[in-house]
Amino acid sequence: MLKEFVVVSWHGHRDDKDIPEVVQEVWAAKFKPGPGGGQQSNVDACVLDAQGKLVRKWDAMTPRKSGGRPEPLTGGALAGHWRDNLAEARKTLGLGEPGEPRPVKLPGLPEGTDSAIRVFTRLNDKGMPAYYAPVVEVVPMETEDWALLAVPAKPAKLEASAFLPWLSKMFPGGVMERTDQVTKKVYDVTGAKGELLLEPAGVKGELKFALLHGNVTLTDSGGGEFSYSGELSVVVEYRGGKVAGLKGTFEGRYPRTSPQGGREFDITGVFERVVPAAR
Amino acid sequence: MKRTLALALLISLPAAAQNAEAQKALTRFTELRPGDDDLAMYRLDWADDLAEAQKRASKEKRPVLLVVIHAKYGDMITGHC
Repeated sequence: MLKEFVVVSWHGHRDDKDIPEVVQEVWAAKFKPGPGGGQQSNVDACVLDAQGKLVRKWDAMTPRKSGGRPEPLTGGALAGHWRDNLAEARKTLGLGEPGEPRPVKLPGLPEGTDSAIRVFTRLNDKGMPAYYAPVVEVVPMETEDWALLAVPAKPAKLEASAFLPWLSKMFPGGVMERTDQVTKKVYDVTGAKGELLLEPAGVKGELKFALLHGNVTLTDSGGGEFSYSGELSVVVEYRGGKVAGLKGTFEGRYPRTSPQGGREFDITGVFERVVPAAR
Repeated sequence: MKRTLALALLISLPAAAQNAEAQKALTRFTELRPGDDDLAMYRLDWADDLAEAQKRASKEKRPVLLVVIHAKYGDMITGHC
């Protein structure tokens, strides 16, 4: 239903300077005193026409009343809420029936970079399916970064901290207890500990392979006792002595805390090398 | 007998480029890497910011879907917030 649309997000607070006009318009209605106040989520969606005029707006997770207590919509009801609002917006814009969706286009290489590692992260919290939606980050890699993974003649020990730039992107989104309570900024993953082994893992023609593996423990800038660990397994492919491919996984456990106590969830990371698309 | 069996196994198994541990790691990569259904939000035509979205919308005569988040930080494109 969104094939024709340019999609964008904006975030900020009501007391920010330079709030875009359209956001002011959405929030003026949202925060208007009256019935229903205090039953909104912190996310709104709106459709603008090509000239920037507001066509339709809706609370992204309109709370529903269940026994008098408002709760956010979930699952099929939430999808239906979006579908209905988009259908109305499409009708107003005269867009007709939606066409086939666009193909998936993942975040690619940042401008001016030749290679990168793409990191997918998922937290398997059954109670919060949104955490299972993959977070996707792309970490630019320089020649010296790849040199750390140079083809090994024999097993070599390496510190996990050497790979912090890409390991540090492997944390779930929206985990509020790992947020600075003053600045509201998410803590950065700042530490990676563990002795890894990079060892030869096969040859095929002109290709060589190596396996980087071991246990990794990650810590963040929030300090305290917080850390999470898991097993890292990465296959590196070499052509002509240079890294030509990388595919790997991390499988660990991530601790969450809430007023009800602490729980651990499976966290998975997937890593792949990204190079410019063939022309 | 053992030699014959080993030879038969060698012939019947496809030649693997990687050793068993690396093969296992690659299999796990295939199992865990999110597929297109999981990455549906990347079917959308994202703009980096509202100004860019409105500029493109005006030029290409297209509508904009704007998601407004009442929060200090967040990145809808990566999912980290």
